[in-house]
Order: sequence, then C-alpha cells, then structure tokens
Amino acid sequence: MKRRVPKLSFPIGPQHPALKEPEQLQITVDGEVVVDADIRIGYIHRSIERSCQDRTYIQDLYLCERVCGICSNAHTLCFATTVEKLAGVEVPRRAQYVRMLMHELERIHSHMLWLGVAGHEVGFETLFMYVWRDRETVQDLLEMLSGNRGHYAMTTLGGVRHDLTPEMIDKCREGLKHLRERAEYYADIATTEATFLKRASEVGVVSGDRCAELGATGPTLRGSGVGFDVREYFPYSGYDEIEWEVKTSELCDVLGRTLVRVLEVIEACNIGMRVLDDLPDGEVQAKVPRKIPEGEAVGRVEAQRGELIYYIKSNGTDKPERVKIRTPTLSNIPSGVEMVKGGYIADITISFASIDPCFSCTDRTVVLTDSNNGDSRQITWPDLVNLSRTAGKGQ
Amino acid sequence: MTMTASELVEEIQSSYEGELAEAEARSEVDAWVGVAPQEIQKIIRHLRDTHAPVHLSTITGVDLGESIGVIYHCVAKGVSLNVHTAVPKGDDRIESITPVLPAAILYEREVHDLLGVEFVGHPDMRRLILPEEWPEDDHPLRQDDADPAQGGKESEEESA
Amino acid sequence: MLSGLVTWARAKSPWVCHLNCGSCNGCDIEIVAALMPRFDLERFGILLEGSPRHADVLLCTGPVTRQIKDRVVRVYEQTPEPKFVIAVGTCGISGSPFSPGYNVLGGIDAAIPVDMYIPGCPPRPDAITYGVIKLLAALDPLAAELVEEIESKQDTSSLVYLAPEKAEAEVAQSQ
Repeated sequence: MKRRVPKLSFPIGPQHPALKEPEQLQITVDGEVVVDADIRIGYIHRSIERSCQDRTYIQDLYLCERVCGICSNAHTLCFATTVEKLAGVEVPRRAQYVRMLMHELERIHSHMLWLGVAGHEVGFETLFMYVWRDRETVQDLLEMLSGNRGHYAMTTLGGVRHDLTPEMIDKCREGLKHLRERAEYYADIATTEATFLKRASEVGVVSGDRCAELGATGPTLRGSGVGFDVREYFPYSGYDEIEWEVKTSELCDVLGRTLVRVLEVIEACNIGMRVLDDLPDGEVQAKVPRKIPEGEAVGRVEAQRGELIYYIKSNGTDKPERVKIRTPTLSNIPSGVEMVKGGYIADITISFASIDPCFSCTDRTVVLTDSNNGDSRQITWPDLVNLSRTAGKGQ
Repeated sequence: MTMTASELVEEIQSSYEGELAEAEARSEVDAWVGVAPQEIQKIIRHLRDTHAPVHLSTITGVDLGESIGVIYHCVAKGVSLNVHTAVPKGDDRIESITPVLPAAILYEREVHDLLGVEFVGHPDMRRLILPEEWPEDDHPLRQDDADPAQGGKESEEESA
Repeated sequence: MLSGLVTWARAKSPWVCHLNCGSCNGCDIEIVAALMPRFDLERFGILLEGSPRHADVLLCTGPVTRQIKDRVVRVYEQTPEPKFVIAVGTCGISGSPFSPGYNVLGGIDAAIPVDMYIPGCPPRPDAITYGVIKLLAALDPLAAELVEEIESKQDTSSLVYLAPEKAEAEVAQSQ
C-alpha cells in the first residue's frame, strides 16, 4: 500500500522571492521513489587553485591544508610528496614513518566522525554520542603530536615539523589500543544491531563495476568489492615497508561501506602500532630548495574518502605555475547520485551520506520534483533526516 | 596484472594504431603519452580496450600560453598513466571521452568552467563550480583574461 | 561556577543556529564537538537548532563566497531579534588564507554585521562555548557575573574578540 507523502511546509524566506534558491540536490520523484537525481556544487569554491599560483610553495602547503578540515593532513601529505618529486628530494625514513602515523590517525578521526554522523542520519543518536566521545581520544593524540586538533601542519616540505618523544610514543600506543577495542565494538554493532541493519542493508546499492565505471574511489568503491587503494598501488611514505591489508566488502550497499570504514579504523590502529614498533632513527626533515626546478609531477594519496590526486607544474621559481587538486568526494559524487536513484525519499540522506561527502554538504536544500505533474517543492536536509527517522524503509 | 611504466609505454607504442607525439616513462610508475587533440577519444578507447580496467583519476587543464593543455590522469595496469594533449586557444574544442569513460563527466565540466575548453559530445555541459552569475566568457585559470583576483572583466558591475 | 551557569542557562536556554558560509568544515566539526559528551554544551540548555527562525545566536563559519552571500543575508534576515552573530574561525574573521581570491568576498562581516569573533583554525570547542556565553552576557546580568568569574580564574584575553562597538560599550559600562 502506498504511503501518503506528508505535507512538509516550512518558511523559505519570502522577503526576496526573486532570489534563486541555492538548490543543491535536485530530485525527481514518483510518489516515494526517487526517479532521478542531480547535484550542484560550488558553494565552497574558494579559488584555491588560482590562489596557489600567487603564493610560494610553503604558503601553498598551508593553503592546501585548508581545502578540507577533515582530510587536512592528506592534502599536505600529497602536496609535499608531489613537490618533493619535483625537487628530487628524498625524505628521511623516520619522517616517512611519522607521516604514516599522522595519516592513519587522521583516517581514524575521519571514519569515526562519519560513523557518528551516519548514526545521526538514521536516528541512532546513541551511536553518534558514543562514537564522538571515543573520537576525542584520537583528537587528544593529534593535539599532543602536533599542537592542534585540526589543521595539524605536521607535514612540511622535506619531512615533518616535530619529532616524537618516548612519552608521546607510549601515549600513542595506549590511545591506539583503546581505539581498536572501541572500533571492534562498533564493528559488532554494525553487523548485529537490528535497527542499524534495517536502515543500512540493501540501501543505496551500486555494483562494483558501475562504481568503477563512474570513477569512484576509497570506501565507496571498496564497499562494492573493488580493492583499489592508493597505498597498495602507489605506495608512499613507507607503506611498502609495513605489513597491512586492504579492506573490502562484497555487500555493495550502505552496510558494506560502513563495514569497510570500521575495519579500516581497526587496521589503522594496527598500522599505527607497527609504525611505533619499527620507528627508525634519524632526522625528521630534509632540506627542500626554495625554488623548485622546472617540471611537472602527479602525486596520489589514499585520503579518508578515497584517492586524492595533485598535479603540480613548476617553472623554476618559488611559486608553482599550476596546482590542480581533485578531491576524492568529486570522484564519488556520480556514484552517490546513482545510489539515491531507485530508492525511497527517506533513504536519500543515508545513501548519499554513505559516500562520506564533506560535512558541510549536509547543510543544503533539496528540491523534490514530482515526475507525474512537474510540481516541485523544497525540503531542507534536517527535514529529510527527520523523515528518514520516522518513515523507515518502505512503510 | 601490473607492469612497469616503461613496459606499458612500449606496449602502447607497439599496439596503438594512431600517432603518438610523445611516449615516455618518467619513473618506475609514471608514464606520459602525448597525442594530437583529434586522437584523444581514439587513444582512450584503445587503452580501455587493451588495458582494462582503466581508472580515470581526473582531467587537468593548464594554460600553456598559446594553447590549453589537457591532461588525462589514469591508472592502468598499476601504472600512473598521463595522456596529454593541447588545444589552440583560438579553437579550444576537443572530443569528450564520456562515451568511453563515463567517469569523465564531472572533470570535463570543471575544465570547461575554469579554462573554457569545449568538450564536444558531453551530455551535460553546465557550470560546475563557478557562480551562476559569473560571466560566460570569463575563465579564471586562463592567463589572458583580466586579473581573476578582481573577479573577471565585469567585476564593477557585479554586486559585491 | 557550574551551578550558577546551570541556573542561568535553564532560565535563558540560548539556541544557536550554525551556518556554513564556505568553510572547510574544520570549525563546523569543532562546533559539533562542543555538543558531544566531552564538552557537552547541551547540559547548559544551549541547543543547536536547524532553523534560523528559532535561533538567538548565529554561529557562522568560513569565508563568504559569491554563491553563498545572498543566502547568508537571507538567513540573517529570517532570524528574529534580539540576535547575535558570531564569526567562528580565522577565515570567518578575515577570509584569510583564501582571500584574496576571485570567489571569496572576505570574512563573515562582508555579508552581515558580526558581534563577536572567535579566532583559531579551528578554535577549540571551549573557546566557542565561552564565546557564546560571553556574548549573551550583554543581555543578561547573571551571565555577565559568570563571565567575570571565568575570567578571574584564567586568562581569556585571546580566546574571543568583541566587535569594536560592543567592546566600546563594555569599556563604557565598566567605567
């Protein structure tokens, strides 16, 4: 029996009816089912690529860090490794290992953030609170190592800015041990908790082949069974020296992507411990010249959301000629749109959120167009989340 | 199955039936192949057919002065394969590769938005990241326009 | 200090609406972290509200981009008086490091009047909490007492900055 769509009315702000609404997600529906979806982006376009050309390499390091507040270390790591390729500088081994540690700690913080937000999207507020409380452990570790809870600025051209003291190493080990226990608990919830399974299983299904065709990367792709991980294909920063595993899931739905992320948190804890056990001695920074010789280079890292790629062209001066950044969310958006199609309106939030788009993307307006009569109405993301909690699946 | 960059370059040189302007292995994993713009769909199709799966990481546009360089960054057989071409500024049109690699759909829109290159045959060439009211012919990453930091040619008319 | 704060907050319960104007999400995450069990803003009655029409305080993050400017202004107009705007984060204050840039208009005050600035990249959740309470001290003498108590116990001079008109008013009041 078809469920009547509740009338959702809320003020849009009629003071300036002539102003265009910033519709960001445009959905065509037939009753409760999504027939087509389209997304518009650009609201946080800060002209970073152009600004990079007017700033020196070291200034660009701090600028690129702020492309995203959640993957900031991945950006500096990718930028630094690409510039080091251009300059022909070899980073000391100890610095590589510290970079690996920061990279994995950031992966833990991001995946836990996502898990909490995913719980919030399906109405599992307890999970949200629990996960974010546990996430404070990794935030404390990051603050201890670098001095800041976000935008750590730990990676610099030629290595890392600070070394690890023996006390820091002990605290990290303790923290990682605690995080691994908690992550194992969350893996258990994800696979056995009936309320979560009902909202995540068989929702947002896209096959591995289709994801790969659309250019998806990261947990979005690995949750559909395709094992592409930049750390394995193009090892950087010492990943070829440490024993670790790529995590995939054959489920191809939201549950599959959730599992991949939780398993990656456990694996990140393991990698962190191995890095601390095998930490080589030596310097933590090599000298990189101010003027980078002419050339072009491509750098890739496995950021939390997927493959992050930088292309840098240098012209012999201290400012780059061109910096191109492709963030992983852009590679996953076509797959995200695919996940929403064919599902229910109530599942839009969790399906789209399962590609782990930037957090600010959740603060947007959605336009729903009825495919039968062309009527359209607007609905905000928080209202969709409410609908997702009250409507359930297919009821 | 993986290859080194030089193995892949040799393989492409021997099996590709079109003309290669450049084919170089710049490191163990970085391969760079250059073609004329008319050949782009042909070479991407050849790569997809002979070395599947081909993952398209992104497409970069770069202002080279007289022309706009377009670089297709791919991953094939474990190699970072970069296929590059260039279109003259007076005639900056190139065939879209979306029929061959659907992943190109958003990347071509971005290059068009920021550099003005037209991708013929793209199913949906709307703006991707610049504001709606941005002037049509102003592409911030092109070096020949008015100073982009001022917001393009019509910065005074645009309400701040 | 805590019992006084709880009494005050129960009476006033300021609701905040968070608005992302173009931020990298760093500050947004710290605002959400302020609501989580570790810092727990909600025990003070401070609720994160989705609609600006129910908000007392607008917490704005990020530099203002061209696309977002009209929307920010519209949200500001929808918020009922008395309302306060807090610019959270360095790019909310000045647009830096993105400014100058062709799509960036500056900090939050390029679009709407701002009452308080909280620097940091990102600022800590404690600084954000303190900022919200300090701003509301302008409305409520009980909150003002609390702020005095907090300030007597630690040096908060670099945590937050009031807008010049507000700061002048504070100086005038204390004289």
